[in-house]
Amino acid sequence: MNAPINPDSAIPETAIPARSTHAKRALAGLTIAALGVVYGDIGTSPLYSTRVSFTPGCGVLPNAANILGIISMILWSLLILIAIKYLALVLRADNRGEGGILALMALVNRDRKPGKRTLFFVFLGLFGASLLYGDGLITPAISVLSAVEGLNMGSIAFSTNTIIIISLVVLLGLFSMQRRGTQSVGAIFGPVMLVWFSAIALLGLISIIKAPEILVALNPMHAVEFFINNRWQAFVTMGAVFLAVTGGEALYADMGHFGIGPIRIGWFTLVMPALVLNYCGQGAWMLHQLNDPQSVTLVNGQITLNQNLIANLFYRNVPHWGIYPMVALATAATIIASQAIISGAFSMTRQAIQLGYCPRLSIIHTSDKQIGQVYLPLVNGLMLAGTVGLVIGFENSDSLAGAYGVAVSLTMLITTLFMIAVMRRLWHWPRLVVILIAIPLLLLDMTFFGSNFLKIRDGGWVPLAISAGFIIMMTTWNRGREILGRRMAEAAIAIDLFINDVTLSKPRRVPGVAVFLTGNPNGIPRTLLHNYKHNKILHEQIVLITLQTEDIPHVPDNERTRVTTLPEGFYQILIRYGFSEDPDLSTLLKSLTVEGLNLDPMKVTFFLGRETLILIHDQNMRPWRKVLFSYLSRNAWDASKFFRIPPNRVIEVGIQVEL
Amino acid sequence: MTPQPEPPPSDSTPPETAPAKTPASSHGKNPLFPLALAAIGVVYGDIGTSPLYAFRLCFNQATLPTEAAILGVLSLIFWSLTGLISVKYLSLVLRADNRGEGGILALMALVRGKTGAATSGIQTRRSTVIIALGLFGAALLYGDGLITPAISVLSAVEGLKVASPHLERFVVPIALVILLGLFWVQKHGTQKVGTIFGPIMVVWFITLAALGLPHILETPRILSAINPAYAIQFFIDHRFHAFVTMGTIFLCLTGGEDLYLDMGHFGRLPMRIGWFTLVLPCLLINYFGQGAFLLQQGVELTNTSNLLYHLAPAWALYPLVCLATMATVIASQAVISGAYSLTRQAIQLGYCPRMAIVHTSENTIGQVYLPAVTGMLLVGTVALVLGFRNSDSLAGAYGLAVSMTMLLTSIMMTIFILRKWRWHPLLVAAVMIPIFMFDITFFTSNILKLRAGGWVGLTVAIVMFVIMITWNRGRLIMGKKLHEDSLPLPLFIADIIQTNPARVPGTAVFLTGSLNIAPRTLLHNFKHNKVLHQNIILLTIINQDLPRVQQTDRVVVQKLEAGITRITANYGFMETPDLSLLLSSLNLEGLDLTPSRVTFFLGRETIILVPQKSMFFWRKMLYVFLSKNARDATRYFNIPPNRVIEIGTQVEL
Repeated sequence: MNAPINPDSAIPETAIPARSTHAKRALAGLTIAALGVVYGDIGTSPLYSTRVSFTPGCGVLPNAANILGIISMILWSLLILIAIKYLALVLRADNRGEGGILALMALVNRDRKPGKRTLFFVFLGLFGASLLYGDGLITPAISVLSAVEGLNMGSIAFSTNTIIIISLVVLLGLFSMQRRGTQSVGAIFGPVMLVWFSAIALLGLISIIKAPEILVALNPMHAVEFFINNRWQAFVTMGAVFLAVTGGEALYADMGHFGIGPIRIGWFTLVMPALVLNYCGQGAWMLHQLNDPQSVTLVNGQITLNQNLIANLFYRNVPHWGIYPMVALATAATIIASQAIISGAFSMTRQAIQLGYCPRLSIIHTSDKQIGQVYLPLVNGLMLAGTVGLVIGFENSDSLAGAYGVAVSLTMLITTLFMIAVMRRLWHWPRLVVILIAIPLLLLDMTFFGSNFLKIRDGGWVPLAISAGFIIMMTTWNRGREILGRRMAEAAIAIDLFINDVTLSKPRRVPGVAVFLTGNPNGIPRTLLHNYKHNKILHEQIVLITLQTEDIPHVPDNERTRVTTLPEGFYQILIRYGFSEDPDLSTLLKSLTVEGLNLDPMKVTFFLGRETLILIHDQNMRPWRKVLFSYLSRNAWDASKFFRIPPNRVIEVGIQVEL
Repeated sequence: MTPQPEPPPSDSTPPETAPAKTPASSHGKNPLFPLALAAIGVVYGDIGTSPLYAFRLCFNQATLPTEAAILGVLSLIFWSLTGLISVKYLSLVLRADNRGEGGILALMALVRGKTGAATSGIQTRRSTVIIALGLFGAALLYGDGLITPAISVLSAVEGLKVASPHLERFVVPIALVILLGLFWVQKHGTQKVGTIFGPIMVVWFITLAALGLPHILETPRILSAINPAYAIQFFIDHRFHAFVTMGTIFLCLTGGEDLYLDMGHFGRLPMRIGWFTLVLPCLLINYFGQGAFLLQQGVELTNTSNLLYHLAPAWALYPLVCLATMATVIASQAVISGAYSLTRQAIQLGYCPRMAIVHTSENTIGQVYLPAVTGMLLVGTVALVLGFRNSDSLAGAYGLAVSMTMLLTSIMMTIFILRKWRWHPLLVAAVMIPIFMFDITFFTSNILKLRAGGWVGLTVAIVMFVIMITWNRGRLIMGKKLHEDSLPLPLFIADIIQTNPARVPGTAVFLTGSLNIAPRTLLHNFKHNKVLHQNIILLTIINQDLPRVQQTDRVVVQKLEAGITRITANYGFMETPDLSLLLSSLNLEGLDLTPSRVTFFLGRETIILVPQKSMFFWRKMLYVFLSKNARDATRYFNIPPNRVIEIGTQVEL
């Protein structure tokens, strides 16, 4: 029902600042709220990323030089990738305050004639979005597992199965909570994360005091040296180091909820210092242990920390009495991080639906204004199944780390590509500046992607396969809709022609208002012709409604509708929605006042088309994609429910369409 | 969405005594011999390929092939084939045809029809039990339908291992290619190649006999296994292991239920002729030959794998593998066709969502093709081959579902005999108790296989069962809801006559489930479009509990007042309603019923899930999913889609 791109929408280029509702709230409050949503993923990475860097497979041996090298790499990745790329650069590229890869895609393609280049960006955007789904499954699984695994640091030994079952219970609880919405508990998310960041900073600080020599890792030369000494192995280890920055994309996706200021303040005043302290602390603890002859062995002439001390590295410097509280806090933090991912998946799916890349799904509003406000049962169910499958299949966070990262690193690379387009085309920065910024970022992104690519066989194929599934679905849906739209347009009769005909032939008119939904604003919809043919009547007042989705997140209410009055009792209404809005036709029609027209949804009759797809062999799409499309369109949420039209006021007109 | 197929009203039930109109009408004039030949190609494929694996699997570490054990097992095979197949199926069960049609759903319809008639549509508790039994039996057949092609094709191809061991790694790929090919050709129908199925199976059975006979002649003492004392001795010697072995012996009988399911295609007599003149003798000779061979080799042959292929001389190995593969393909074909006709019956009886049914030929068996069923069978079979990798381990999964179906058939038969044939209870007991002993023994011994893979068939069956009862229950609730909100027809007519609303030229056909109401679609269209058509036809499709409805009984036309005509169309469960055909064949005075000139009004229910006790929430979700993916009524009933207007109505479930 939605026309994907409207070339003649005259929207000013300049982005409107964050919405006014936010402005009223104190900056500090917003910053704390942002902590609970935006920084969950990146804030729980210390649980596993350092340790994985020293785990055999993709990691290096824990000797003094390597410890300094790895910590240095982590710190500088955080600085360049997160602080510079995302916070300084990417966050500027908002689509009227809204962030995320689909918003970016819409932004880049806005006001562009459709062509090869826009298609390329659309593909990139969809690819990035589908990669986020792949990650969305892994993040909850890996972070909850790694938090729960901390239980083994206590005095009681837990078996792998117990750990898995506890994690599954936590995840099940998390996903089943979605239905009720999270606004009631959401208020404590920020404070909990505040406690979490303070705790990890404190833990780090304690260790740093014991071995302050770790602070030399702040010098990037250690990272460079590490690369020079280890070459290929260093490249491989980048895949593990990358786990420290996986939450970066989430910053951008959730930007719309908080605005750029609170996110930046949170990062520079709290998150980054806490992370730096904690990573340094983990390194310091290892350096400290190197002095203990009990816990080291000599490998290749180097004093090396025993492997068994690396497991649960994060919890090592927690005092004994603090283990269980810390596990509880970590679990809470990972739940909050997972919640952000799930909400992110919900809002991304909603955007994809509005932009015409995903079949309509049922969308339930759990709250009015709060983040986490919508709930998509199907997405929730799929994510639950996927996450549970991952936990059962991979069994522990170490092996899951193998699957994690490939998709995110690819998304980050795609974001960088988009950013180049934004800098050149929208901001009109000089070419030299763009090149100077882009090349180091691309290099870093490609290095991370390359090293993650090595993990394909260890499980990296899982998110890639999921993404492939999603991108096939999204492109098939979009292409199918496009073909259908074209077929409808071909068969349409021009409005004025039809009205002339009506004036001449004077068909029987029956009292009442008939509303026809049509995707093509210039033609008489087939539903009308069909109903006319079979019932041989026209209603006295006929309203043709076209819904359009704009390339902006929200359409201001005063620009929402445009009513054109035509002769012979015909009206044409154009309704525009942003991609972050849900069309609610009922409410809209109730509020709309057109002279002489009663648009009370309970009094009018809505005519919707019910397409019967006839699959034919042609070059438009492959047969299996046609089968997929017809499956998707059968199982899409009913248009009447999606647009909140009272179902008993609906007449569906069967229309045969060749696909 | 169409009106629910309601249980037929009592007055339209067929006369009590179902005339045993043996062969299906299309074959009526055919001489007996070709029919028997065709039957051999379809009906006996499964049971005829069992010698590939059944006998050899009886021997293992616990049951060494000693002379006593060999004779005991053979004796058990002999008496099971006699008792269960010859007596139970061929002599008894085949008599219980529903107007020539067989199978557990036909039997269910038959038994239900008798009880249902008295209460006219209200489901009694007893008929609910009967329906549950029948449906579960049908669901179990799907579980088997997955395993039969996998195990038989694998066991045939495994003959390559005997030819040369290094071919072993090609077995699974070759089997997969054959299965893929088999499922692929379903789309094109099998009537072209179907004619050679019979002759090939005849060659196969003769080959089986030829392989067994020389060994029997060399060791004639094997024939003493006919003495049931050996079977008893075997049980005494091995006790629990003998019981376990029964689960394997059962593999000889797995095709038994197919006999009944496919009866409608050939009739009773050709099947009996085929069995007693060719199939049974050849099978027995082969099993005894395998036993004789084992006796000659003595206990030294500890590895009994691919025993059948060892019977053949070396030069004949490759041709034999070829022949065996063909035979198993034919057997699998029969199972697939069986799944199609079972599904069709289930759709018509209202236990399965409508699906696309493609007619590949007019009259031959294998005439329909259900893409959805094919796809599911294909995926399941391939998964089984990949998961189990050889026929020995698949045998562990095979049998449980069939033995359960057989037990259910016996239970239904007992009810049927008591109700319908009204035999003396003592006579029934005398006949059924030995059969039940067989069935229960086989069933319980198969339960032991649950962990080895028996759960596969059972799980498939449970899933299918849940789908069937959920679909049926959902439709029932929906039908009731739709009925509640409708207006009695006489009231509506009186109202029209009084108010005299505007009429537009043309004919409107409304599909409705109940006879005496003005359908909601009509009221809704009237409300929104404020007109009525000149001619209004209320069309009700009634599914009868018989396989086919005679052309003369097909339609009842009733002219009512105010331009309203009521048409009732009756269909049997082996038929697919074709409304285009039906309407164009009707010749009514003053009515133009050419389908391309009338308008069809169908209801399109938007299901609103409400927390009511009628069904569990997940079953409601399942129902919504099924109804979304059921074939459009438009296409299922062959209505021209551009002549359809669907009227949305909101129904709470």
